[in-house]
Amino acid sequence: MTTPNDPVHTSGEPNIPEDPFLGPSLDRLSTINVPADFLPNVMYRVYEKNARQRLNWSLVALGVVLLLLATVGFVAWDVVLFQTERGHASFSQAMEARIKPYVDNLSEVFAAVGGMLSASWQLLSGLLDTQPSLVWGGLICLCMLFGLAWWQRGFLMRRSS
Amino acid sequence: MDASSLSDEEIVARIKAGKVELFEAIVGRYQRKLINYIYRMINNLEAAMELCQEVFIKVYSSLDKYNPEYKFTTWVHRIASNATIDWMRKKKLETYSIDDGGDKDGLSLGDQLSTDDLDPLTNLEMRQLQSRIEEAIDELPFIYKQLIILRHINELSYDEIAEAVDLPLGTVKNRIFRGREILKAKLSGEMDMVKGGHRDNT
Repeated sequence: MTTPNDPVHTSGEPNIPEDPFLGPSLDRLSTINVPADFLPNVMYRVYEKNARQRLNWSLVALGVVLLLLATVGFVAWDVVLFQTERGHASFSQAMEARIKPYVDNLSEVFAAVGGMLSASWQLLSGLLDTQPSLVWGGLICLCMLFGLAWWQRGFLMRRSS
Repeated sequence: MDASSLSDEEIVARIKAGKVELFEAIVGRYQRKLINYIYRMINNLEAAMELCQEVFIKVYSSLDKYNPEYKFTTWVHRIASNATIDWMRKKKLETYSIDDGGDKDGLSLGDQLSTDDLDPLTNLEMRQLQSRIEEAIDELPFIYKQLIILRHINELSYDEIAEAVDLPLGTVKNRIFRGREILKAKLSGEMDMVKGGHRDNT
């Protein structure tokens, strides 16, 4: 096997000896030390890629179906216990009685959120009618907020690099 | 399992059979050479680290396509060489002429130099020569720089270099020879100084 200091054979030309200083100097050039986290970073990506390649989507679908069945089964069992406990005549009656409080509660939550949105909009509309310049003020504040967020993102990225 | 006694080709065969953890041995063997090669080509340490990671991911992804008839070393270097050229083209850096651009990261030469029983003055002159050599290599046209680095830093044989960069062996030898001649022409003053000092010491 040839070494870096072996003479170079060019076609039709005699052997040309290497410069005794340039050759060893080239061989002794400085090299970068590899950071300790380089190898773990590479292997993390390799293992992630390997895991994705081995992912079986039919198994994932089967898992989803099984979880859904387990959920439905649990709810049904809960309703049956509720029916026994309260003495309801039928399963559907017990289910309605069991679920109704949660549905009512959810409706109350939606109504409250809707009410808050409506009140906020009325307040804002009233303010804008009396103070039209508030629109521009609001827009300027929004732009400043975006600018600040963008600067912060760049600052954090520069710090992490 | 101790992979140090296995050849690259044997490790690759076991990785293909499912021992993914053995890829760590491949990374350990080639990370230094590839990072140094890529860094010297693109002159950007952070980008070289990222690009080298991408190269290893490409190597892992392409293991199924690796043909054991060819040396694994040259195959890996070919992937690194192509990735480096692609990166340079994306950054619109010249890949076939002199490259004056790129930022300089401070490299410490002190730890890497061997004194070889030289007196302090000659040692200092050698260090200055090393620094000048680094600059001269960086100023070389791409087609010479690439081969000089593969030869003297990555320590590939002429045949391996020819395979890695997909050039005829004669072209590789010619370009390495011309690259050295350009370096000698650039460094003639400094080298004469060091030679003179070395002769005085003998």
